[in-house]
Amino acid sequence: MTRSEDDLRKDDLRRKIIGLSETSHRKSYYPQLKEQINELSIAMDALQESEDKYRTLVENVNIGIFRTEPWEGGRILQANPALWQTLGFESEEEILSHPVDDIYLHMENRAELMDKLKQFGKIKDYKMEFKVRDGSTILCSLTLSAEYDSEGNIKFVDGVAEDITEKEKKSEALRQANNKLNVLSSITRHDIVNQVMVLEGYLLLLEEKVTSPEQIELIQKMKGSIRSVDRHIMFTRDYQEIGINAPEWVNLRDALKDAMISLDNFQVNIHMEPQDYMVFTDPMVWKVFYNIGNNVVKHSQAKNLYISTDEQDNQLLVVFQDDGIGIEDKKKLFKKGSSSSGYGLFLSKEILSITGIDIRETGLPDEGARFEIIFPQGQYKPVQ
Amino acid sequence: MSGEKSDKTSNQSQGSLPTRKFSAPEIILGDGSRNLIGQYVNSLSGRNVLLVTDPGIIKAGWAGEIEDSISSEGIDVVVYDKVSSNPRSLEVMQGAELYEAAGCDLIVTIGGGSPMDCGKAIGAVASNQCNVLELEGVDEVALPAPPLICIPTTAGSSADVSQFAIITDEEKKRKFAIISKTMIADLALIDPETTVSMNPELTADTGLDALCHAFESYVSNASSVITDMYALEAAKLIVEYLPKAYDEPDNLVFRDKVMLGSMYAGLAFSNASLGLVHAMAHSLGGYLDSPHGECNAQLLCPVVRFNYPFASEKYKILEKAIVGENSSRSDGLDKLVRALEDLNEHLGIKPGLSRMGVKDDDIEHLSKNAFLDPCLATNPNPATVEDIERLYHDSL
Ligand SMILES: [Fe+2]
Repeated sequence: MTRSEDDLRKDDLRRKIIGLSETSHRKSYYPQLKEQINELSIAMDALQESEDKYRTLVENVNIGIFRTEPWEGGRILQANPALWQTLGFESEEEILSHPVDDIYLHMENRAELMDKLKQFGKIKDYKMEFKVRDGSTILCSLTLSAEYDSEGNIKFVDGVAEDITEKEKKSEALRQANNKLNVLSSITRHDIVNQVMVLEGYLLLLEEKVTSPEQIELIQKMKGSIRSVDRHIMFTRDYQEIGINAPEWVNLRDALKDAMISLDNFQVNIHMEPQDYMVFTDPMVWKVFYNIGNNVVKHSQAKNLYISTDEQDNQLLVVFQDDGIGIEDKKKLFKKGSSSSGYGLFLSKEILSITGIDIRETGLPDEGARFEIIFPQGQYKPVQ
Repeated sequence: MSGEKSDKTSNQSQGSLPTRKFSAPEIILGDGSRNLIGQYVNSLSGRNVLLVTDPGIIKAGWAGEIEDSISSEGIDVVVYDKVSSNPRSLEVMQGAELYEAAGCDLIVTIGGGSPMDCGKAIGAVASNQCNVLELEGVDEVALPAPPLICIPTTAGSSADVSQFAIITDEEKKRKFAIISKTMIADLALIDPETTVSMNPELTADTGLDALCHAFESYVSNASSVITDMYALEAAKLIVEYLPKAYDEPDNLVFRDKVMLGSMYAGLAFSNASLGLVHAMAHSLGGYLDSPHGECNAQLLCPVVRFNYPFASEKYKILEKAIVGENSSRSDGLDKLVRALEDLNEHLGIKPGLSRMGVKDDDIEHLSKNAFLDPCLATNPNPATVEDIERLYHDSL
């Protein structure tokens, strides 16, 4: 007897309704739930592990880490050992029972700091003095960031405080030593220059009294020597100023203008065609521009000097092109005391190298000199 | 039994106890039991409840009362009342969306079969992350739904104790069944007091639905000794007390009895399934959106006639239970049908599907859908599409 498809379907359905081989579950024996609980407990273990890892890190790190309430009279809610130890507390509990305003050397500084935080949400590397319980003070570099609640009010302040007392002392000592050295060398230089002038005067008097051509020639040589001593002394003055000031963003056009105005120039037409850029460099950079300009005026016999910029391959070229006789021997151009330009180009290269900027001369002999100053990526940006 | 080795699930084997199972929710039954809702939401760890109901129940005040009870435990309640009298798939999906958006963790339904079926399906959709249409069939719900508490306010559908949820596929204008153990509530809070608010018409419709549950599960080819016990007792209680509750709506004793009968019928059909009456009623409800109870009431007598030769023994027992002993001589079938017709008449059900808007032209479509309904699988007389067409026709 053959049975129709419908009969088979109905039989199958009936068997399923009776349900002895059903696969679904009541909630009370819900295996998927058990699986989910297993997964959850694995995740919890992993979380615990990662929490332990970070806790160890926070506890062992040599920098103070803390969380405080933002308002005046607020408490310190969390502090790692580095913080409470640095501030001279015996335990975390002890520092937590201490009002946060009280650890600042000047309470009002904290209020100012909180105002800034409200405004910016974050404060980075801010120098701040704190009280240590033994009565001493420490200087910290403080970085704070605000944590907000759902209504946008500051809920906590999380902070990192690095004790920079020692570091600051050392760099202060270094600054003082440098100052002393500068003072010493400028006094000495001043004395030498005076003596050189006196010497020049005596030579002038002597020159009038001497008639023998041999002696006159000797006097001329002595005068040459004195000029050379004078140049050396002037170089020490210029070189002393290099690298004293931190590099900064300098307006390129302004620096070029300043340099060109300072030139003693009656013959060369200067064409200023640079784009507007800011360049990150030693503030002495104008001296480099001056040196190049001076070189053109003094030695190139050029009628025109073209100053332009050219941005290509992620670098910025500042180009000084003249239409003079050009430079034949380029090998020693930037060496100390090499050419007729004296120390100028050597100095220029030194100034630029402090911030990783290069200079080269690429002019063709018949087409005049061409100095290119190369600012790498990140050290130039358009003027905003 | 054709070529098969043995059919363990068949109940045609003589003299032995066929292997059957019986599933039921935790049941709390009794007047005022609805007041325990807060306690039980708590014990099921609900913190944010989706309360599924319908506008009628809100108007009657039951939904508000339950909402207040739950809130007073400090538990959040989100109300979903966009449920039609034949709940639609879109309503289920919207409910599931609300359940997720509001971060709910437990479902409470209060109302008749519609909010209960809708709430059950919402739970299954929420945990299985699918369209409700994908859950159609028997044992097709892979993941259990979140905790569910059902509070029935009608004495009929008994969705609160059953593993059935009937949803309308509004696009195809048909009803489909989700039959799964996951559709069984965690708790049925059955409080007959809530049925007092039913008007006579609804009392009749829902009560006759319950009677059909009793009849169909009793003669089902998947019935068991356990379901038989419940089905027979249900038939007795409903036939005796439904007309009384209809006549005296405020008599709580009658309401209690009808509710009890409905619950017994629910436990029976949940485990033994139903038959041709429901297959045809589901098709009608899906196509014409007709009230489920009234469809059943119109179809029970013709189907009893159609099935009688295939389950006469059981029908005789039903007859004895309903009509009494003293008439064993007369023709059983006619007597039984007459008793049912009398009941319909008492309850104000006028015969004729045409009065419900069914037309000759609808019958072909209706019959096709009824033929595919899973309830047909357990009908004692294996009906063909033509049989069904004829039955619709005769019931016009
Ligand atoms: Fe029903």
